[in-house]
Amino acid sequence: MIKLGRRTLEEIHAHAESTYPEECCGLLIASSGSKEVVDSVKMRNAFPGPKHDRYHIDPLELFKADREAARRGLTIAGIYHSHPDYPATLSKFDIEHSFAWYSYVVVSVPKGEAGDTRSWLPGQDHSSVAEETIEIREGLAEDRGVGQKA
Amino acid sequence: MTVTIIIPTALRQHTGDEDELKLNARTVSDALKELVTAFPSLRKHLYSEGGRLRNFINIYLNEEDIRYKEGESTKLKDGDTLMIVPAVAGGAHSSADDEGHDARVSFSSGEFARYSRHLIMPEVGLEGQAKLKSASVLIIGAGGLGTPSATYLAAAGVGRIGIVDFDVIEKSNLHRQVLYTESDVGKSKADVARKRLLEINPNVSVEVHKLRLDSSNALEILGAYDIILDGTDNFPTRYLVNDACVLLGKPNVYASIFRFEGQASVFSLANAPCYRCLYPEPPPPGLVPSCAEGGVLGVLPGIMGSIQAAEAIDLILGKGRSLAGRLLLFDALDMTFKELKLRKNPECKVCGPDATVKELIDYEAFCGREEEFSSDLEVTPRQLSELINEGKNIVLVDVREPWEYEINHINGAKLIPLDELPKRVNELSTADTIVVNCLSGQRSAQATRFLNGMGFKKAKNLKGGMRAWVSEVQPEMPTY
Repeated sequence: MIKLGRRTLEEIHAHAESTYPEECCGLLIASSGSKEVVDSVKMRNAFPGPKHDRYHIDPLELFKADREAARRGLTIAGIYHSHPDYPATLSKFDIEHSFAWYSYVVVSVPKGEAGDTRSWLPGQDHSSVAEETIEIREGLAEDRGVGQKA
Repeated sequence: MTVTIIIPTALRQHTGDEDELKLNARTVSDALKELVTAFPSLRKHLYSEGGRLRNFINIYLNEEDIRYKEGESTKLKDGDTLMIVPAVAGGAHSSADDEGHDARVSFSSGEFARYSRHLIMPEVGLEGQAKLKSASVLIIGAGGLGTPSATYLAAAGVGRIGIVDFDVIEKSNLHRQVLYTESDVGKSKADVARKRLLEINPNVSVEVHKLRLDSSNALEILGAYDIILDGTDNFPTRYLVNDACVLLGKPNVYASIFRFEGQASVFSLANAPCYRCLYPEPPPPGLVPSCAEGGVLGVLPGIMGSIQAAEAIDLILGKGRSLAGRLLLFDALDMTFKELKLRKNPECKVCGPDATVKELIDYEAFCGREEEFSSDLEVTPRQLSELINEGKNIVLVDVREPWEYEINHINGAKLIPLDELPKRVNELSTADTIVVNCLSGQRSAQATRFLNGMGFKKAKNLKGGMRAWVSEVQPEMPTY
């Protein structure tokens, strides 16, 4: 199970809508060793071709974001991306390019409006995938600062 | 050597909550082995069952991808930092997904027999053969490179093969374009290639595109295939194919040939350089001779085209280490293969972070049209023939090589090979009307410009060279 704050979810949806009809991508930052997401980080879609059905995160930009998370005592627990006019399931291409150590949150964006949002755990073999429950946390505590070490 | 290795925060749970580790190692490979020995649960994340570093895991040494150094055998020095960085990519959907669904691929018993030598290799197997069957490859140019690559791809069972070529078969093609026979001369290359490929393997489909690839049609045509094989023989099309592949995100399996030397690489894979990273600008027009002008060993494109086919198959199977980031150089005289490492050019105008080329451009203009001669510095074969018949005093200079001159020459022509012209220029007089010829008009154009610059104001170029002379004036003369 991956836990997302309502505000984080809204930020991801806003990001997905802002890049429509292109795919957006970003990182889910969690407290160390957990799937309690405390923050999301927008990443640049670095795919060199048409971005309506592809995304690519520049490795050095990912590295820098990972170091920044480490500095804050946090972990990149997952990757989110959008599927413009396509369901929130992992495509064959997604699965082939997946890492078993991340959760993959996918937002379907039919006609520019973010909708169905699901999370997936890919297998080690790059061919299987299991759905992961998303727990949305509501309320004041929200996600900001939760799990953050001083 | 004491080096620091930085692992992604997500893997920290496997290393006792450490994401920066110091260890002693001589090479990248040693360092990674040391790491997984110390933390065995990391192994399955970094290595496949076959013991290879997993696909899509990048290793950077001091912020540089080791693929552009010496791979896992790159040597380390004290204080180096190694970074493990996942190549995160994905996306909704593509036509390849629909067709790539293995469950939809089935084989007849005839196909099982045909592909048996593939099927018994674990690297291919039924899964790999299904990938080949559901793959599509576009071959640009059904010439020296395109005919061997198409032959092997069809035989290997690549399900959909596209061929772009608007040319007809000429006799001078037959010494290397082994898909064609004597009786095919004058027929469409694409049509004959399709017929032969289907004879080799009727289980594949072959689509022909009999047109000149240009900026108006390239994205649509290339976009319909998974992998592009560049078998072009000219720079405008080569840059067009490169840019279209980068814009579409399609792998561009490249080869080129000249005389005894060939080059091959794979461009525009994610993170890999493109043709423009290697050659940002085309050479000045006329400087690099084509095979038609400079010649090519017949078997050379057979080797280079086969390398392209092997690369395309590796890409489809997702096996091995591709030529992306490497330029393979083959010399058929010394019989050597060499390899150059290619780096992504951060200033590349088409694939760099600040790329300015966002759509296809006019590639004929980009590569430059060869400067035209003014009419008084050029004669056509008919004009020359008339001048000779009128008894005008004309000095004919043939700038080809002696063995070319032996095959055919215009009666009375003086042989001065292009390379010797500067030191033999004193054999000519500035007072004479000089007409310079070669085979196609390219070398003689250089010679004419050289002579004009040396004060031979009455030196003119024979337009179209001996090829035009034979077809327009002396059709009974042998030619090549």
